[in-house]
Parts: sequence; C-alpha cells; structure tokens
Amino acid sequence: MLKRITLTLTLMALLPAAPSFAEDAGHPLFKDGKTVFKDFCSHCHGIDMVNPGTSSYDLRRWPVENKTGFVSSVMKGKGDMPAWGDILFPAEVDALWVYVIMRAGKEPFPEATAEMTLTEEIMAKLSDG
Amino acid sequence: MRLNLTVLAVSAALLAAPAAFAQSQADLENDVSTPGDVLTYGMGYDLTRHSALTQINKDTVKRLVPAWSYSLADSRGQETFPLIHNGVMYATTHNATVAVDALTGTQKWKTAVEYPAETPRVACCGIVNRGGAIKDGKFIRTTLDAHIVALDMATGAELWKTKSIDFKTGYSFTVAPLIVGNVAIVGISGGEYGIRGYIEAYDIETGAQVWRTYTIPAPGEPGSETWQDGGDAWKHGGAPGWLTGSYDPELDLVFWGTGNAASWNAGVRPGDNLYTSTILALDPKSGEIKWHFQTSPNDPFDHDSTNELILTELNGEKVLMQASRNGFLYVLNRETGELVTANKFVDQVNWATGVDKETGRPLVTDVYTKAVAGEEVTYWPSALGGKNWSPSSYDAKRQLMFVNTLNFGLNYKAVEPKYRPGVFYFGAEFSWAWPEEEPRGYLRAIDPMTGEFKWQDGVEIPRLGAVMSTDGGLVFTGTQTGEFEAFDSDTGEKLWEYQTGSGIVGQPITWEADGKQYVTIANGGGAVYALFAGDERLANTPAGGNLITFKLLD
Repeated sequence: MLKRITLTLTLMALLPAAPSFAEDAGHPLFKDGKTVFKDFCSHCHGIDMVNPGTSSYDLRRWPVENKTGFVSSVMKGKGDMPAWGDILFPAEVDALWVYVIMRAGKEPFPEATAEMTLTEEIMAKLSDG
Repeated sequence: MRLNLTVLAVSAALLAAPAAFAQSQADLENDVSTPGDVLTYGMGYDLTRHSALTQINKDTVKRLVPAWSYSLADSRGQETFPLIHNGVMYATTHNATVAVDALTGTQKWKTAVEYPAETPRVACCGIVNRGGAIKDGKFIRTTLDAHIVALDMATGAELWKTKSIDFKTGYSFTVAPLIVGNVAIVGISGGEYGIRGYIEAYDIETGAQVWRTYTIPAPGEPGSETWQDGGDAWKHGGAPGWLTGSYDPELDLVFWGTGNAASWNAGVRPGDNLYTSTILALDPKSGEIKWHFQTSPNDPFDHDSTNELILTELNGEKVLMQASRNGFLYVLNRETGELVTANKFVDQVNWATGVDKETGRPLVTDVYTKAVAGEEVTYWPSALGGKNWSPSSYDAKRQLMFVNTLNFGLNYKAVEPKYRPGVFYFGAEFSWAWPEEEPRGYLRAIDPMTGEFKWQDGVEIPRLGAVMSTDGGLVFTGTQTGEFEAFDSDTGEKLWEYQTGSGIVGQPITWEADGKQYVTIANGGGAVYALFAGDERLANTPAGGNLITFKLLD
C-alpha cells in the first residue's frame, strides 16, 4: 500500500498543476466515498474536505476511532447538521467514512486505529438504544 | 370586476392597519428620495444602492464610529438587507426575523422561523436569507424550506404562511421578496439540484398565490423548441430566480434574472435551453414574459444570470445593467430588451471573446466547445462568476458602477449526470484554479458603457458582500475577514475601516434620523465562498452575526 501511495505522489508531481480528477488513494471504497462526499457534503464541508471550520465543522478533525458517532450525526443529524437517514444508503456511508478518515486522500488508511463497524450494524444498535 | 375587488381589498387593508404602518405603493416608489427610511431591497426599486446623503463624506468619514451592535445569535453567513420604517429596523436570518429600535439597537420583537432539520441539505451555497419586504404593516419574507411568511410589523405575529413547494426535492428560498402593488414576487433556489425554476407572486393580504411563471417552458410552450434533447431534460433544467428583481413603475415591468441550466453538462441538453441564464421582463400583474435576453445559451459553466439588474438612464435611454457571472457587463434597453452594449469587466474571460452586438450572443472559444464536448478545460471566470451574488451600487453622477469582482477559474470536466431528488445534480467534476500572483478579487469602479475600470482595490480573500455608494463621495463594502470599509468614489483610496469581529457578506444601508446620517451593516461570515472555496485563511475569522450601526462622533 505504501508503494501505491508513493507511486500516486510521484505521478501527481509529474502532472501539470491543472485538472486532476483521477482517484484511488489506497482503499477500495475511497473513490465511492469521494463521490458521496461531493454530492452530499461538499457544500458545507468544502471541496476535497478543506474548509476553515468556522461556520461548518472541519471534518479533518473527526476522530478515526469514532465511526458510531459519525454515522449517528450523518443519519440522524446533530445541531446544525441535517439528517440524511432517509436518502443515504448504509453502503454509501461506509464509503464516505473511508474518505473522511483518509482525510480526502491526504493521509493513508488508518488501519490500526479506525473503527470499521458496518453502518448497517451501527444503525441497528442506534435504533435499539 | 377583478380590479374593483383589488381596490376594495387594498382600501380595507389601509383602514385596518395602524396609520404608522400604512406605507403605500407611492412610498415604495419614492424610497430613494426619503432617506429617513429604507423601504425597498437595494435602496430603491432601481437597485442602485446609492444615497444622496452627504453628512458622512470624504472629510468626515474618519470620525465614523459604532453607535450600537445587536447580536443576531446565529453562526451562519448573514446576507440580510435591513429595512427601516418609522424608526424601526427589520432584518432576517435563516432562522429568525427581528425588529430593533434603529437609534438604540434595542430589540422590539424576534420571531423564530421553524423549518425541518433536513432543510439545509438543499441549500447549495450557504444557509442564508437576504431580507424581507414591507407594505401595509406587513413584513414579508421567505424561508429555507420554500415557504412565504407575512408578519405583523408591530408585533412580529405571523399573519399567514404559504407553502410554495416541497423542499425535499431540492427547492428552497433565500431571496428577499419584491412587493409591487398587492403582490410579493419571489424566485425559487435550487439550480444545483435539478429543479424546474420559477418566479411567482403572492397576494400580500391573503398569502394566496396570484401567478407562477416557470422559467423553463413545458413541451409545446414558447421556448420549448430550445430544448432539443428529445427527452426530459427540461424537467430538471434549473433556471432558478434566487436574487431580487428591479421594478420600473413607469413601464410597469419587473426585471428578474434566472440562474444556470442543470445539470452543468450542456452536451446532454442541446439547444439554447430557454429561459436559463436569462434576463426576463415580466408583467407584475400576470407574470407574463414581455421580453427575454439570454446571456449564456446552452451554459456548461454555472454562469447564472441572476445578478442584480440596475435601472438607470444612459445617453437618454432607459437601460438596465448587469455585471453578469459570465464575465460580461450587459447594458440593455429595458423597454425592448435590445442590447446596447456588453463588455468584459474582469481581466480573464476565456470561454468567449466578446458578445455579438447584433445578436447578443456570446462569441465562444474552444474552451466552451471543448467543455460541452466533455473534454477537460480550465475556464475563467469560475462557477462563482466574474461577480457572484454580491450586489453592486451605481453612482449615476459619476457614471460608475462599484462592483466586487472575482478573479479565479475552474478546472472542469463534464460527466454523465445522475438525477437523484434532493441531491446535487452537477454532471461535472471540478476543482478551483486560483490565480498565482494576483488577488482573488477586486473592488472596481467600472464605466458600464465600456467595462473598463477607473480604479480598483485588490484583496487576497475576495469580497462577497454588497456595495453601497453615496453623494458624500464614498463607497462602502466589507471583507470576509471582517473589515467594514469606506473608499473615495473618485480615487479608490481607502479612507476608513473598522474591524467588526466576523466576516462581512452582508448588505450596507444608509439612512438619517433627526438630521444625523447613519450606516448599518450585518456582519457574520459564512456562505458560498467560506463553505465551498476551502480557503483556510478564514479559520481565524470567527462566525457570528451582528447588526452594527455607525454614526459620526460628535
């Protein structure tokens, strides 16, 4: 995996500064997560997850070991965050989580620390509770 | 018969309302010449945002100090246009309407706006509201979940509330209504969600819908021949009307701009796609389209034509002017919709070389044709435009339009659009193309007949708020890092600034009471640039909105 990241970085360095839309930053779900982020999240949390974190939350700070809290906020809403539970599929949230904890591709997949419980299981637990 | 009923209704309302609140149509039309109040969005039906007041001027502005500050208790971007009547200031946020004493800043009432928690999903570019409209003791505003509400100006009590449409499929309101006669005219938002746009009018007495004009014709209607895909593209074709129009009482015409076509992928919706990115002249009584002028036919770039339509006379001709998203400043004869002139008002426009003076159509380059064909391009100005929503002011004596321009492009590639109700419908991949050495925006003093600027003031983080000018020779605007600023109208020299404590994306007004001139602005950073542009330099500019009023130190 490290090799792949190095290769990606090398390629990026070779490319001109102009458009670069190719993706697969080292996890099979990353690309889908990027699409979900763009379509559902980018208007408040910033293109490529970069925002000043003033009038909306900076997702790059979200702890990688807390997927349960993430799924709850996304599906049920929290404070200014609207609920998406009626239109997002659990598989889309799983992909989105990979994108978020890889910080939009700027960091490797945090294999040792990431919570990876399936969204479907988290939702079942949340509705039990 | 219908006319008589209307007259009766108006008379009844006038009798019922307390005398203090009985603004008439004439009052609205004379707003520009009554500086003791601010009754209309844009400081007059002509949207010039220019005041004849001169007490605060080039010499005295150095003594301008805050008189009071009022917390809007909200962390979203504040784009409200405050109104003033009988010593009371009215302002909006996305979740409340407030009335405060204009001289002291003391709250008189505050009425919450309740909307479902899912609503912010369908606001592409900030959870904002741009202000209200007043007449006959009623304050009328829109809500994010696509409702129109009337409040009693004396108490804040709700008089009526009408649902325009189900917000969940991507429809919302951020617009300040335009009251003409007995109707409040509004335009829907949702150009990035595959809506079918419209402009519509509500009876201010009852809240009943009087007319709705779809900005995309259904098959068979005039203009439908400009949708040549042979399918359903028109159903999700965009053309919202999210910024307030102007009104000419003499011609009895309302002028309203429409937004981008949806999705951005123009290749899958061949034809001009009327009435997307179009300037419309409407009959305020029926909503009938009297003429139209399309600025960006078959637009692939999110180049809305919603920007403010300023009314003035140039060389004896009644014109309207728009510094459009697409990088050209249009001057049209407002009786006929014919093009007077159109010129580039920003440095970099690479999708068209100019505008054909005969046909009014853009003279497109290969950047345009490649973009439509699905090739990767970098186009200027970006999807946020050569100017975004931020309204300009116009000083007729100097023949100068004061404009907050933007200076960046977009890396772009059209992809197959996927429609899903209530979700972004871009049909494109994109990323920002920032200028390397230059500022990302300039305040410019522009001659509308040439597009050339007399002076400019560059700023690293572009200004996204409104501009206001005065006969005191001053131009007021603000920065996203919080500075409220005053410039010399003739030279562009910055004469004064005050750090307000949060970013400014709002709309300044000026007014007088007991012989003293005041200036008011809402601060509160946020909205499209702060959320979407990924400019981390804003991290140290706190959120939080206030109404702040300034006066000269005695």
